[in-house]
Amino acid sequence: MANDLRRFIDGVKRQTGDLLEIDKPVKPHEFEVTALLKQLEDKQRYPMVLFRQPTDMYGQPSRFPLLSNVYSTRERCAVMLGVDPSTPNYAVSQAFARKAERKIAPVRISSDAAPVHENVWRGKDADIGKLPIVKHFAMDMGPVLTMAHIMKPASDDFYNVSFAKTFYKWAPQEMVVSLHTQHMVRLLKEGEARNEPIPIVNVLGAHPAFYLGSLAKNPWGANDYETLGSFLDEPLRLAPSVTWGDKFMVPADAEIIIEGEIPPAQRDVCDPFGEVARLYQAQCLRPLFQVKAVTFRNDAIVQDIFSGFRDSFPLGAIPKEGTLETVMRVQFPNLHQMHVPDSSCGVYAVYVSLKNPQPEQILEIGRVAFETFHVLQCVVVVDAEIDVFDEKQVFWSIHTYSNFVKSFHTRGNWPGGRGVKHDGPQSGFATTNWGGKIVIDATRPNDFAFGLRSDIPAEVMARIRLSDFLRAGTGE
Amino acid sequence: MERIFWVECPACGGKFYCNHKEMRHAGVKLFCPSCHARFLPEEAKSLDERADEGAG
Repeated sequence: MANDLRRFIDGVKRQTGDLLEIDKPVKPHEFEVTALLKQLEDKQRYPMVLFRQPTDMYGQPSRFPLLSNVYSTRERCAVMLGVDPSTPNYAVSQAFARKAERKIAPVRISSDAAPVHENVWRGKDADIGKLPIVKHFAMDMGPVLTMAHIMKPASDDFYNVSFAKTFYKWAPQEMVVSLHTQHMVRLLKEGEARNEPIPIVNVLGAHPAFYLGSLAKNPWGANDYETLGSFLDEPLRLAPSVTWGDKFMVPADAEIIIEGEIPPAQRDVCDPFGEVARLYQAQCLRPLFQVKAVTFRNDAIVQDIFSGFRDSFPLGAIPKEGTLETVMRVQFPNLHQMHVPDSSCGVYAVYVSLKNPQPEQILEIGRVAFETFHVLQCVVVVDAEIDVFDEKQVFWSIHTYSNFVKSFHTRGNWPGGRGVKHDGPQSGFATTNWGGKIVIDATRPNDFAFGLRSDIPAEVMARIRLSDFLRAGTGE
Repeated sequence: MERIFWVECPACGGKFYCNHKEMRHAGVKLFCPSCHARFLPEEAKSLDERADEGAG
């Protein structure tokens, strides 16, 4: 049995138990899925949610259940990455770092043996309107598929896997796809320069580590399928696509795949969409996605991301924490931990803790962080005894240790900042008031006589156990 | 930060916003998310394209 979505769901049932199954019918394209997810979030409940009876775009019962909120706890992200869910913080970041550095070559199997080819819709039968497609937010242009896409160059044999959203266009075989990563935009431009249709595949369900792995920062020319094997801890099984055969291999254990082509130099309107910063992206022009085939497993499950809420934050945070761990550990041996907090949507801020921080390290850490991720706009450096996963401690450190005249380093010409020319993709998300950068030194001053944080002797904390002093059975 | 402009749909009065660089003067018809009407920016019932003067 491959490491697929079904095995993950079984693992969640066993290890964290937080799967909520909704049996009543819901209309995803009329906001009913996100309304329910928002009400759960309002109650601070973050289960993975499986909608058993969603409707399709025609208002009819869809044959595909819909899974969402998969990433909304770090405990479940730990399960995805093979980490004990009782250690969901930096152990998860470090697991991402290790997996992103490793490669496991994929293996090829025949189409007949590929679960994702158990059912094949081609031509006019490939009607994406039969899918449950979620319209998430009031001002969204329409229902949208939110999972990862695969592209490859015509002349080289490597694959790029990246998140990109795809809007339903109220037609059976037509969508518009919002490609935004540097590599996918390059692949698009290269294909358009040849004036040829560009193959593209949308993977609508897979083991969640597949999607997390797609966020690893690979150089141009790296085969993302090898990275995904690392994240799955086994070779990714590939099968020939039904449209292009061996020229474009697809993940054999995916739940559902849409094979399509981007016609060169054609654009249509795309967005608004409520993106990860919980701001709508502005309407713009993006390529068309013409559907060639839909293939799926028996009892296939469609996945979706609840963008702008807790479901999308770890997808930004964990890859940044893991990548920065790899980049910074070499340069700053006294690095302790890093966290990209939910309050920054998993995108814009990173809290960095250091053992025995040196004054000259503070701005250098900011520079390296901004250089690694241009989208970051705030770096806070704290001492190692501050838990960067507890935002109250980080803000305590800012309010007590920082000197608001000397410790806040704000400017627009940090790497990726407003003062630097950077008109490529991933320079910032949409309408966020983005571009100014700040580094905050919230470490305890050590260059002059300064106060000491109050604490209880460690020996007493180890000796006196609260449980020994509580009345049995009362919880008090 | 990308510059945007808000428009008010001439058909339904719904408001949404667009990328200024790509959509304001491109001769492209906008798409109203509320009623699916297509219209040019000049046909909008109202339009707000104030830029952030402090950006830079």
